[in-house]
Amino acid sequence: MAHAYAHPFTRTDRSPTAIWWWTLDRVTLTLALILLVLGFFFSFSSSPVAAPHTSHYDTFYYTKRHFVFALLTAAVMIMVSMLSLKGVKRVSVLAYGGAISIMAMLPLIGHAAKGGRRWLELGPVALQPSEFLKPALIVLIAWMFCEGQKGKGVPGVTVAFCLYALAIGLLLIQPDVGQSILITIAFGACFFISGVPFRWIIGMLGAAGTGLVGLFFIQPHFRNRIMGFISPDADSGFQVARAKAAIANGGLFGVGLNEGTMKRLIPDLHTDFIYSVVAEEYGLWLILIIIGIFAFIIIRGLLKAMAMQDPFRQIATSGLYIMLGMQVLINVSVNLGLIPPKGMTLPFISYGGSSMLAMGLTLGFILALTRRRQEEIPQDDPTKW
Amino acid sequence: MGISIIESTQSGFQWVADRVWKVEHAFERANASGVKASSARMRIFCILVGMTVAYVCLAGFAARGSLQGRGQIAALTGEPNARAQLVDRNGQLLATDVNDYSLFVDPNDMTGDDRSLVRRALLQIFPDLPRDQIDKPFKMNRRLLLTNNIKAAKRDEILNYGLPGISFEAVRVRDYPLANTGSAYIGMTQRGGEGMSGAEKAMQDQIAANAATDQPVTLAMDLRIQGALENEMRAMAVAQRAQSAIGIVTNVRTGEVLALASWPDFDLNRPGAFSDAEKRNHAAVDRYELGSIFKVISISVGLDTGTTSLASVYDGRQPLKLGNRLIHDEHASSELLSLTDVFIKSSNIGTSRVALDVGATAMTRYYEALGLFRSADIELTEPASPLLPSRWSDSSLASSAFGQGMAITPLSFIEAANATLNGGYLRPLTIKKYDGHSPLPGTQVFSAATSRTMLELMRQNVLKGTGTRANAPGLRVGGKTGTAQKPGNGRYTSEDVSSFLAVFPVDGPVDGDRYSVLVTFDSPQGAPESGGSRMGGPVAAPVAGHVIERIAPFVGVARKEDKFTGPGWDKAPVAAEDVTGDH
Repeated sequence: MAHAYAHPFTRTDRSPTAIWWWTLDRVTLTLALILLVLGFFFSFSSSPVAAPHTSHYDTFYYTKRHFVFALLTAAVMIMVSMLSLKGVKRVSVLAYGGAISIMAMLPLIGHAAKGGRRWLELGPVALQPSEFLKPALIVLIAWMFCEGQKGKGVPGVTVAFCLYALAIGLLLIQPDVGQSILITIAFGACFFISGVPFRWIIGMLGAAGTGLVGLFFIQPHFRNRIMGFISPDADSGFQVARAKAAIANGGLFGVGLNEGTMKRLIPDLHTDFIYSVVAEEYGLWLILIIIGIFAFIIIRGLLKAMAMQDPFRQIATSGLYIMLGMQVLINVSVNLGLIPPKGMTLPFISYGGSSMLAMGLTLGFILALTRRRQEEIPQDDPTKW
Repeated sequence: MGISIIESTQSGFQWVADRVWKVEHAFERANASGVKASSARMRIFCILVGMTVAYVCLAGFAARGSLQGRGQIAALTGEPNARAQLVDRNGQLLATDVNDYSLFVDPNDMTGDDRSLVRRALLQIFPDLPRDQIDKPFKMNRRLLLTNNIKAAKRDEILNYGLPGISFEAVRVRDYPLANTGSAYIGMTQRGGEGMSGAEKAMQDQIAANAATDQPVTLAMDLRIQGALENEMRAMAVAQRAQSAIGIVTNVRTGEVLALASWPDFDLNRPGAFSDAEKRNHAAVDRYELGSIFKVISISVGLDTGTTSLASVYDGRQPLKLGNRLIHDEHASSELLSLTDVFIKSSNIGTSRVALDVGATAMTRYYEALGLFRSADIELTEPASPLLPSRWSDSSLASSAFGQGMAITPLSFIEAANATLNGGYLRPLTIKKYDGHSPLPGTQVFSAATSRTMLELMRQNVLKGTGTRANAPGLRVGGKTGTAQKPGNGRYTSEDVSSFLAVFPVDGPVDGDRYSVLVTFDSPQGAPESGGSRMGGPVAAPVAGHVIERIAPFVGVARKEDKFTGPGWDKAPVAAEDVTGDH
């Protein structure tokens, strides 16, 4: 009577969906979906506090939105992961072009908040184009470095630097120093991987150091954040102190679901400071699991990238993983009070329409780039591709 | 030159192009070698190792952050303006944060029947509120603030009615359970939680910091001493219809201010209901020519410089002529005075001669060392700077020696006077409780011998001089009276400032625990209690004596006999009262 379990895609199925499924890095996809689900659960803790206290106060305002965005993110991730290499490049060009044009107009039409003009108000949704810029830029510079290496007359390095400089320039106008630093780190890593001589690296590190010092003196917003971190009686220092208190309140096993009290005092608790909410209510054990999942995704991804043959895929994949890894490092470090506040979300878990969708795009790119290609299939593979 | 510019412009473009080309080729060359793939692998591996290390560190920091305990939480449980409790040296509560409540009414949470019921109930609960204000939320049909500043007890009462649609929001406010007691010492706070005066302002940082750990801030005040001082002082001030009164009790060894009273006082919970004059800390802000109590300082300087001694003799028979000014003694004249007589009969002539013998240079150096040329050294923010003579002539020097021509705050005076009573050390006054072991700050101004001699002189003055009314049997009280005419409109008025500086016990080790009590009445009008007199002896000395009687048990001073308690001492005649000033 018992029906034998039938897999939706058999190994011999040659439909595009079946090919996609069998070549896909299903482990990473699963882990990313788990993180998305966790993020949705956490929104039940953060939403009642973060929800706008208007006359129509809706306790689960952000939970509902989070649900929609999580579904969209998963959809984006899966759709982008189906792209071919050419498709990845095309989408990147579109995303980069779109993001840059919107960012160029932001000083005129943007929505100012939290010391920066980073958002574009589109009805009920606030779009932060710089989030979509990040993965697109990494793919494009990987492509350009790769072209440059080929030595067929394409000035890849120069183009890559120009793309980078354009992005950074527009980010600093907003100003968004956190994203600039993240992009610079990812860019530097890609450059490093693509085989830059070591003395260039030293020069670049020097330039980056000079840039940071320059920023400190030129950008008042950045300087305030740094000074606030050094002397914590400033406003942002207070934010960090509250996050630290919430984390300490949680201890090993947390104070219990929705029992957190410190979260009430943390601004941006559903976005940049979701870590401290989780640490307070669930405790260290879940935090370590989440950090472990991220570490596993990133280390596994970099190991995969090491084994790749195609320079473009290799540079782009490792660049995207490094960016993801750095974003987690920066967000958690801010929550722990190790570095000044940056305005950066915890990937997949934090609420934030742009940031979640852009994470879907990022992981979609990764999945598309890491899908096993025909040349990597061992010859004795029964599927013969 | 022109050619070279053109050439260099051309080569400028060329140079950029060359650079780009070179960069591209260098990059290409770097990868052209066969090691390209393995090189990229090594580099990714380097990053991988770096990332791994970073994540392990991150996990470590996360563990530390979560497991570091809940120490920093208390700071954040309330509003940022949370303040620690203030307690006296024995842990008695002086000030604390409590919640007041704002009452909101939301008709949407009531059924139609309930609305009129709640409205009627509110009208009964708040008969003073305008009817419009109570009707407003019902008319507008939304949640509105009805009234503020509801105390917790009133809130409980309202909650007990079980009215629907009524809610409260807590507002943190500062509460002073003792209301008027110690108002000048404790000080008040603004509504936002910043200290405005007294210890609340002086200790602002510590109060805010301690709020984090929920540790009360301990003051040097002893509430029992504060209460006794205020009680005695107020009774006399009211009887004398004085303009204001000041009382200070300090430990001369540690500089701790055990009590500080300024009358009239005010309710710290309702500072708005009192005038600025009532809220003034007279002990810190008002500058007085304090009169003969200043002789404690000038005679000590004479003793310390060696220009006078107990064996010195002064001629009180003739007024002292300085330029075209004559200095008289009111009653003590027409005899030869020993230094002891100069002190206990409060001779202006003798004191002036002591000061002149010291000389202006040495005298002002002592004044400066005693902190009389600056505001009092205490954590409080209120103390005012002194008003000094513009020139130190013989006349102004002599005047200053008997407490005239130099206006200082009572806090400044007691800071300096303590140096004559504690073995010679000028100690900063403090409103913080001394921990009992850390080294005491201060510089030595007088020798221990000077201090010992001054203590004995003050004791003799209480036994047979002007200060007999301050004597408290067995408590070895020493003291000095002072009555100064109040200056006003460029001349001295008929109003007086009557003071008494007491110290007890005068015996025991010179650097032992010893307590000074300063009582000052501004413009007493005379009363039956003082036999109609307005002078320091009848007005201030008994207050000091009563205070000492009452506080001796609290500071652990037991009654016992001292070397002066012989048959002859108690029967010594009361000396005539002194009045400072030229008559």
